[in-house]
Order: sequence, then structure tokens, then C-alpha cells
Amino acid sequence: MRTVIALGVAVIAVVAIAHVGSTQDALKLAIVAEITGGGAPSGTMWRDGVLLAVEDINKAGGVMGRRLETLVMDTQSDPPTSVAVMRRAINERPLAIMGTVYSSSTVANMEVARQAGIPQISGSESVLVVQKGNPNIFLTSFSQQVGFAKLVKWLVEDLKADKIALIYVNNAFGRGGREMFLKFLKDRGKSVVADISTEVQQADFTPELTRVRASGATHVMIYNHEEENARMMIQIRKLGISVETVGDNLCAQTTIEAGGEALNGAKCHVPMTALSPVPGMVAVGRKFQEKYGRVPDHNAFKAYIGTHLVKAAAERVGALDQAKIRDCLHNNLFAAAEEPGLLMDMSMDDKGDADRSSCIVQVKNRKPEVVKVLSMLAGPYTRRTCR
Amino acid sequence: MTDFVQLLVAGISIGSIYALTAIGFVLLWQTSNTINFAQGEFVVLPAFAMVLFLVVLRWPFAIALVATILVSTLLLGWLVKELLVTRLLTMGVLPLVIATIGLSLFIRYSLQQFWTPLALPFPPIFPRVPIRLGTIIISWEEVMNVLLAGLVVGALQLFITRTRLGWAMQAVAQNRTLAAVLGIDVSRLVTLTFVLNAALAAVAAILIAPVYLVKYDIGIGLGLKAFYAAIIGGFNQIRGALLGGLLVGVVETFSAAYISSQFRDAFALLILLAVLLLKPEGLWGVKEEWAS
Amino acid sequence: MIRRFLPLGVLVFCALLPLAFEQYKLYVASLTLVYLILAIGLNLTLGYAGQISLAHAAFMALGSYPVAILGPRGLPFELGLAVGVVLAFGWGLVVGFPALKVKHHYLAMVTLGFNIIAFLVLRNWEGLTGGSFGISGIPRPAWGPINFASDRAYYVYILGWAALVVASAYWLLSSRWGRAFRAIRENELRAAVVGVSLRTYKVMAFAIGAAYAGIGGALFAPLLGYIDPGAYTLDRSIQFLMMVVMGGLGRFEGPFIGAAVVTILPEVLRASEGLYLILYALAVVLMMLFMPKGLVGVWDWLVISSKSRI
Repeated sequence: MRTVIALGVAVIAVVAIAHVGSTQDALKLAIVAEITGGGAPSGTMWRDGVLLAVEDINKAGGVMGRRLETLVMDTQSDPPTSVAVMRRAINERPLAIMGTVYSSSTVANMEVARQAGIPQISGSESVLVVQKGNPNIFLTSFSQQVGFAKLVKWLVEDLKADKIALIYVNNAFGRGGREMFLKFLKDRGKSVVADISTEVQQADFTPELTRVRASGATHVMIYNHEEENARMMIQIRKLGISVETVGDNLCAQTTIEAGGEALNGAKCHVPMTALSPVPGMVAVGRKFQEKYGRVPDHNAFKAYIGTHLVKAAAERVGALDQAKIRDCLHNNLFAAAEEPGLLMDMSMDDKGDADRSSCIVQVKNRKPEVVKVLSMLAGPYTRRTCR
Repeated sequence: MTDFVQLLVAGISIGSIYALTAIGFVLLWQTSNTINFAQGEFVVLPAFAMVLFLVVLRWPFAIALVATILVSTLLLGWLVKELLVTRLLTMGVLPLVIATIGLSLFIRYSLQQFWTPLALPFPPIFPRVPIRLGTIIISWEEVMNVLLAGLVVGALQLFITRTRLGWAMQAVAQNRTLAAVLGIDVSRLVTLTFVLNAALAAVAAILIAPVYLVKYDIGIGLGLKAFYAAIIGGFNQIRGALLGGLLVGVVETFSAAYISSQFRDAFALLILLAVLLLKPEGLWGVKEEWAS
Repeated sequence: MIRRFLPLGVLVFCALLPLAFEQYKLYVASLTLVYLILAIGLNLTLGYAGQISLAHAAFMALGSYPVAILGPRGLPFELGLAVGVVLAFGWGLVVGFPALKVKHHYLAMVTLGFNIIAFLVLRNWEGLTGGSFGISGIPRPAWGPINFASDRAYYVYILGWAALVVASAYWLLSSRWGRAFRAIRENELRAAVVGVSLRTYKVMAFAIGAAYAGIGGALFAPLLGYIDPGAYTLDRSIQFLMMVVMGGLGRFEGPFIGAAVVTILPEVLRASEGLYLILYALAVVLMMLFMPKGLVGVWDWLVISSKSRI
């Protein structure tokens, strides 16, 4: 009797497992992102950005007349899990993969997407992602290689920073930024007076800030994850350290919301912000807020733009051919005039790195006010037709 | 010199929070052999409760505080004990350990999913004006952390050494079977310990929330540091947990500032390992007698 | 007759079934096998010899990194694995010695400390391990013309090693080693009185368990093709602890059930979007409440085995 039950259970289990992840026939975008785990703030923003973009695209008639559908898969901010999830996503035969945001996950799972030949649009910013020679990965925002070149230029030329301290988070994201920061400073014959690492989820930064103060730095470049940035700024104000605070994601929406008043006075080079002078961005920001009840951060914008990038490339090719779309994305210029959903002109190089104009902001009254607009780093870029 | 004092104050301040978390942890172990892997989350939950009462519902501070402590002691004290501990206590240490691991994951992911994955700002309870003593800048928070922790520990110590209930708790901690034979209601006392732990965790929550910000994952690191503090200080003495917490806080802060911030987690660990190998009962602990 | 061979039959069926699957399920199956090897190792140390270890992920790393470092340089996978196993075994001995002095939760803390320090070294020694950037492009084994690069082929390769590990564990536990371990777990004093050399067996329990972890770690690296220190944190050690306890401590079938449940359950629950982790955590708590001796109890109820249990 028991053996019969055992066999029955086994059969049911096998059938159930076999039915997990059945395929359908539709134009799909697979959102592979950090919905839970340490990367949840970024991943959920990314997901919401894609969903909003899909909504807008479908309202405007879809991609070449076909509706887009999405499926959301959670990587738990864990690279091995992201690999498993990527494989599962590939089973659904999507047109493109949207994700991941965490650089260490992207490096792990982008190989899987490459083997399957499905273009992957990622929100990662670590230079590591574009250094691996993967022709299938495309960033939605410039990597640290481009971004930090602009940042250091502004820091040295505009702010005339002399004694610079660097605080970064000790993971692939932070170390990648550090590598680029130090390199571009060195190119200008400068170096940092303090080079300090922090941990993810670290809460108390008194030792690090004490070292900053002891170094006599006039400017401190703060490059942790958003919440740690917020905590650090609160403590800088608490300790009364007088230093100019600069950064990148230091002025992100998530950082400002967590840190509040302490963020006032921070100056950053940001890829995009809801308060940018670009009317398209303002409009999207408003739509996002209406739909989700919160202000979008850069990850949401990246996702929105990334989704439209897929559409733009597909339309330029004129077919839903993944290899051709991939080819079209490399070494090409995509203008906002042609595809408004891109919000700003962007170009993509042969490694999947993006270039785009960006802003310098200063946080005033808990809002990142745009002080200056920076143009693309390089160029002029040419627009290739892809037929 | 300025830096040294500054760091010392910071280390003691953060150490007091570790100590508060560690003391409850030690109490649980002593009276019920529970290694509470969810101790960090026991601090996170009241922090969120405080945000609910103080920021969302806008209740006055005192009422929010009382409500938070009530919620904490009810859910994390009484309920956890009744549902989990009573059943698993007789099964040995490991099933309870896994159950508390499950509990910590449950609390963490529930908060993340049903509330928010983002960090919530917490209104400062103490004035944000720095106190200047010469070149040294101290914040009110740092001072109050130490004072309040000290107060709580002092009160606890008085309770345990001067009241009948406290003596009963000591008896249970030393030998459960014997205590039961002597007529002590062991089960009720264990419940009391859990309630005390929850209350301590709630106090710790209110102290760290303005600095850590309220996020679902701040429990992980905190729980771990509480373990270190408890082991280093002495698993069977409240005084040990307090001093252990302070030591961990100070070592962490100084080693990150003067030696290496890349290995900042390692130094407290090395002390932990040294203590475990040389004096396993903890620096201020008493050799554990293997009781029931 | 059927009853006696049912467990074996189910096992063989489960082992061969994934070959019919597509890549996602095949990947999950491969991962489960790797975790099985690791769980068997921990079950040896903790379940049979009663030594609490939270260092298992560190031993796994010691198996992964040699493969990851030597593989891209063109050296055979098996060499990397051998180096890894020797390293893991060696460090298992090192960790085993403090085990002689301390017990229970103290031992847990020692092993926990070892795991965290190992993680920090891996993360900060960028020159050797690539630090937080990790190591990518880890090739799968190849024997001359025979190549295990495809997912199915690699699954078979892992299966081969898993079978070896299972067989060796079975042999070990049926021998006097197994009896010595069980004696130590039940009552150390009595075991010593009866003549069991506590020192040797305790240290070996760690070392052998670590060696198995090394094998698992070595097989893990080419499965993803990329590793970074984040895969070997305390969380991972706790995951293995959960596998072993939920499966059934000190029971041979335990790791099979534990590895399967901890790896596959979240995937099956994935359909519930964000809720699945909460459900998983709830399942863990409930399982402990109602089956504190592990899910092996269910297995026992289903299968009447006339073989003596080891």
C-alpha cells in the first residue's frame, strides 16, 4: 500500500515539476532582477521601470504592431541564483532579457544569455561587465569607465578639487568605481589623500570618517550603495566634518529619501534624475509617480530607456531577429527624436557600453537640482541603418 | 588624541547597542538553551513598529514607545515562546536553531515584501546638535546610547539579584530540573525571559534606528555581533555580555580606523577565536556547569 | 523483493530523469547533486560525529578556487579538484583541532569565525582570487576528445562524482569509522572509556567532511562558470546546516532529502512571485515544529526497509 502511495507521489511530483515554466507564444520580455535580497531597492525600481515602459509601448501600438508581455523573475541578489533564473527565463524564449542590476550577478549570468543568443539589457554600471568581451550585453547607462571619466573631469576642472578622499564599498561595484576613479585622477597627475573601503550593510562609519578628517581632505568622493551613503551623510553631519561631499549615486532618489536633510549640499554627477531639464524625463517621472506612488530613481529610468532601446533597435532592423538586433545595437547612435521613449540621445559602443549626456546636480532642500548639463563624453557618433 | 577619544566614544556607543542585543541573547541561552538566530530580527521588528506608530500614525513619542514595547513583547516574547520554544525545547539544540533561522528569514522577507525593501528614515529622538568638548565632537545619540544601555543593564542586574523572580531566573539558568523540583514554574519563567529579551531588543531598536535607518536587513550584522559579544564576554553572565558588547564595538572601531578597514570584521573575530580557544567561558564568564 | 530495492530504484530513476529535462531544470538538478555532496560531508561531521560546523562553505571555497584559478590556465579540471580536496582536507584538520577543546555552541562559533575569515581573505586577496571581481571563464572538464562542456554531459560528470561520494560515504559509515563516530555522538565519555580515540576520530570527522565539501566546491565552479567570494559566506554554511537538519541528522538518507528540499522547494514556490521566500521560511519553521527529526521520517513511513539502518 505504502509503495503505491510512494509511486503515486513520485509521479505527481514529476508531472508537477515538468509543468513548471511552460511556454507560450507571445512577444516577451523577461525581467530578471533583484526583487529580494540586498539589491531589492534597485531591482524593484528596475522592474517597475520596465513595466511602465511596456505599458507605454503597448498603448502606442507595441513593437512593430505586436504587444509586449513581461515576466518577472527574482534573482534574490545572489549570483548563482541569478544563473538558474536566467536559464529559466530563457526557456520562455523572450525577445530580450531586461536585467540584472547587480554587477556580480550580471557577470555570472550574462554568459548564459550569450549562449542562448538572447540580447541582454542590463542596469549594471560596473566596468567589469563590459570588460569580459561579451557581445550580447548592453548597458542602459554608461559604465564606470565613461561615467567616472566625466565625473573626474568635473571634479578637477569645475570644482578645482585638490585634496580628495575616496570612500567606496568593497564589492565588484565599488571596486570597479575605485579603479576607474584612481585611473582618471592619475591621468591628470593627481592622487587621493585617503583610499578607504567600507562593507555592504555597514552602519557605523566613524572610523572611516575619522580617517577622512585626519587626511585633511577638502573633498570626499562617496561611492557606497544608496542606503550606506545615506547613513554616512547623516554621520558626517553629526560629526560636524567640514568637507565637500561628491558622488554619483550619492544623490540618488533612494539615498535622499533615506538620508533626508543630511544630503543637502551633496554634489553629484548623475546619469539621470527626475528633475533633469529634459521634458521627456519629467513626464516619465510624473507617470511613474502616478502609477507607483513613489519618485523613480535612476534604475527606473534606465529600465524605461532600456526597454525602448530594444524597440528602437528592432524597428531599425525591421524584423524581430535577435542576432540582427544585437548587431544593430553595437556602434550605433539612437536619438530621442526617433524614439521618444529613449528620453535622451544615446550611443552604444561595440562592448555594450553606453554614452549619453548627464547632469551635475546639487542637493538643495532634499531635491537634486540640476546645476549643469554635460554632453556625451566622446563622439560625434554616427547613426547606422540596420537593414 | 582628538581622534582617539572620538573613536573611543563611537566604539563604546555602538558597543552599548551590541551589548543590549547580546544580553537578551545570553538570558535566552541560560534559561532555555535557545540559540536565537533571529535575535537581529527581534530588533528590526520593533524598529518598524516604531516607524508605524511614530511616523505613519503620528502618535506622540511616549505612546509610540509603549506601543512598540507591547507589540514586541507580545509577538517576539510570548508568542514565539508559546509556538516555537515550548515544543522544540525537548528536542535538543539544533531543531530550535533551525527554527529560529526560519523565523529570522520569515520576519526579514515579510518586512521586505509587505512593507518596503528601502531604508526608512527615522526621526531623531535626541537633538542632532553636536556637543563640542574642545576639538572633540560627540553627538547626543552616542551619549544617550551609553547612558540608556547602562541604565537598562543596571536595572536588569538589580532585578536578577534582588527580587524573588530574579532569583528564580538564576535558579532556572543554573539547573532547570532542580529548579522545577524546588517548585519554580520553569515554563512561566522562560516566558518571562523571552518577554525581557523582546523588551531589551525594542530598546536597542529605538537607539539604533536613527543611525542605522530602518531596513529589513539590519538584523543580520547586528545578530552576528551580538553572538560575538556574548561569547567573548561570557555566555553566562549579564555583566559579561555588556563588557563583551563594549569590547566588540571598540575593537571594531579602532581596528577599522588604525589597521585596515578591509578586514574590519576580522579583528573582533580573531579576539573571539582567541577567547574560545583560551578561555571558552568568556573573558568575564564563569565556567559553565553542564546542567540538565 | 521490490520493497528492498525500492529506495535504490527511486534513486537511479531520479538520477537519470534530469537527462530528459531542458536546461533550467537540468541546472537545478546539477546544483542539487553538488549540494548533495556537500550535505553528505556536513552530515558526516555534524550528523554522525556530532561536531557542529558552520565552516562548510569555506571548505567548499577551498575546492572551488583551485579549479577556478588553474582551469583557465589550461590545467586539467581533475588537477584543480585534487588540489582543492587536499587543501580542504588539510584545513579540515586545522579546524578539527580546536574542536577537541570546545563543544557545541562554542564550536559553532569557532567554525563560524573560520568561515568569515576565509571569506575576508578570499575577498581581499585580489591578486590570487580576483577579489570581489571573481573569476570567470571556468572551463568544464575534458578528457582529450571527450568534452563535458554541454549541460547534459556535465550533469553526467557530476553524477559520476556524486555516485563515488555516496558509495564512499556508505562504505565509511558501515565500517568501524562509522561506529566510532556514532559512539562519539551518543556519549563522548563512554566512547573514550570503551577505547575510542576521541582525538583521531573527531579531527577526522572534520577533515573528511571538509574533503567532501572540497569535491562539491570543485564541481560547483564550472557549473556556473563564474565564482566570487559572495558564494561562500556564512549564509551558505547556514544553508547547508539547514539541509542536513531538515533532511535528517545522522541518517544516510538525510542529505538526499535535505539537498533536494532546500534547492528545489524555492524553485517550485517561485510561481508565487515575491511571496515564495516567505513561504519557504514558513515551511522551514513548520517542518522543524512538526518533524524535528527531519523529513527522513516521511521517507521511513513510505518505505519499509528491511536493511539495517546505518
